[in-house]
Amino acid sequence: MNMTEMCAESAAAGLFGPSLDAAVVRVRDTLYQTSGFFMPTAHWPRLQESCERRMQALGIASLREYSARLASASAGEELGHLLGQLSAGERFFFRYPQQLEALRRIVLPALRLQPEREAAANVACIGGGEDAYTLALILAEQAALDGRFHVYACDADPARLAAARRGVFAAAALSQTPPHLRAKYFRAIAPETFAVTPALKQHLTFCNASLAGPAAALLEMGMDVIFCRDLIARLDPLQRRRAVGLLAASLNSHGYLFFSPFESPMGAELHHLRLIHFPAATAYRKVPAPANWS
Amino acid sequence: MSDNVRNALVERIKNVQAMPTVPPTLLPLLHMLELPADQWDMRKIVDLISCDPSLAAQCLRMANSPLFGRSRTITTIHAAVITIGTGRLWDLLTAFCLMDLAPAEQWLLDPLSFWEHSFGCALISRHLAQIVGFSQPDKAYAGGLLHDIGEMVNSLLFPKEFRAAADLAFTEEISLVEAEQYVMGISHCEAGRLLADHWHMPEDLAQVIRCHHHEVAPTPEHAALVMIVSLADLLCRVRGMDYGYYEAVQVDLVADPAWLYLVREFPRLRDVDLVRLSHELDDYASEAKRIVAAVFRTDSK
Ligand SMILES: [Fe+2]
Ligand SMILES: [Fe+2]
Repeated sequence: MNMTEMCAESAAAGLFGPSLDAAVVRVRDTLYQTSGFFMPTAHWPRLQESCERRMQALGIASLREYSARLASASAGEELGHLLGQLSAGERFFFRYPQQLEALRRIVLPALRLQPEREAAANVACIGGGEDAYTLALILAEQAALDGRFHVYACDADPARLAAARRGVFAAAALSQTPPHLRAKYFRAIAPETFAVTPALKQHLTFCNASLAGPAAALLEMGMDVIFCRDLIARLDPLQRRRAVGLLAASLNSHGYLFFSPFESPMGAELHHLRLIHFPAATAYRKVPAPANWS
Repeated sequence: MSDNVRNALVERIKNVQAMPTVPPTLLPLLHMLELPADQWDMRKIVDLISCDPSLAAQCLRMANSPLFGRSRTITTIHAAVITIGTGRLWDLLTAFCLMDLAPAEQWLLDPLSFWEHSFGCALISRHLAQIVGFSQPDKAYAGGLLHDIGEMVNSLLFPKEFRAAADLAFTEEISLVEAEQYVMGISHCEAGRLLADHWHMPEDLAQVIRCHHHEVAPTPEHAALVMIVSLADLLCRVRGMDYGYYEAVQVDLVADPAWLYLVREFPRLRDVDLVRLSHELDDYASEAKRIVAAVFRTDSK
């Protein structure tokens, strides 16, 4: 008796996992191939919702039609809209906590920074400044660094830079910030409004530089840790290659580069960057250059 | 830890009465894997299940669970087997066999984390085996499922020493195998191998248990299986299928000995998109949680 035939009708195939909608698979794969942004199955309801919003805006009736549209050669702008939907409204301190745990518990101890040198960190594309201050705060809390660190926060948009430099945030942005850190590094300046303390601010420099354009200054400094979260998926392939090249060049040997959890440097040369896995998080680490590498 | 203490622990393992007894259906199930699933003899499987009242009851319970949405009550093992289907039958039977192995109160590790790690490792081992083209993916599943069985031995036989090792691992955020070596001088790999011998497990699985942390090298004929499970174990620990504590581990996959071995033996591994693979593994983490919830009925608690 052959079991395969007997059991062909079994319901087991769908027992332990959600059934995969082919149109969503196509959207996910197109998104990944073109932007490096990979949406894990657990987040599909969000992907589906975002697609539906875009379909409504475009007057498209079926997900199938939308996935075909996304896969077409001229879909660059639409991809941007969809990615915008997918990462909309995510501005707060201590975002992607597993990456931050890896930074605190693994990366900083592994860097074995020399006492005579300041740790340098870079935040490319600063948004409202939340990532830059979060990074500064984690570095400030690292006893071994003893305050010897500096965060360079870069962005191409002068208005965004000015806002981030002010360091004033609504209480909602601090919802994920541990209370003792909130008390130590923020002051309430109005109802539901908090300002970063000057003591923390002195560890940050905001600079006008863009990864998509010339950013020679970044290259000269030599960074130990770079956060570039929620940017590279939105760049076109050429810009992404450039940006990743620039980030890799500005990293010190053994330094770490974090993208957001769903992003990847799709299509870019990795320039001695190696994918590193931490518990529930990943980053890229620069391996030492071979002797003949210039 | 002195050699005397270590030897005393090994002696205690060899003391047959103290060892957990092998679940009666486990060995026949492991031997089933010598044939591909489409050649399994269903009558034999039905007989095997029918001889084990606990297993039979579990099969009927599962087949009648809402997961399968049958309109009529399933009352025979034969119908239950058809309902569950070959795709999951072996996985579930083995899970049922193992779930009663040790009473939860005797576990020093969180049993749910342990089994989620074990099932996660099983699923990922099978996935890796399929990716590289290893000829026995179901064997890889079994290896993944059983690779850490030595943790159970340590937990049951040396509660005091193992507690100290686990505490060290938790506070120092190091791997359990390192902590066991430091505190007890005997790792779960060595303890597991003694159990595997005691249970007369097939040699390839016994080597997975003994060699998955590279303490000793496997024999060449079993190296591929061992390395697949070893890599899957590493991936589990960095994709949320850990032992329930934060292990400060950073893994450069392409520099890992298991990866280097597998790339040499199965060159197609070189073309795998590691970013994508990592994300796909998260689906297995969810699946492992669902299996454990279904088998251990944690969802109904
Ligand atoms: Fe292990
Ligand atoms: Fe393990």
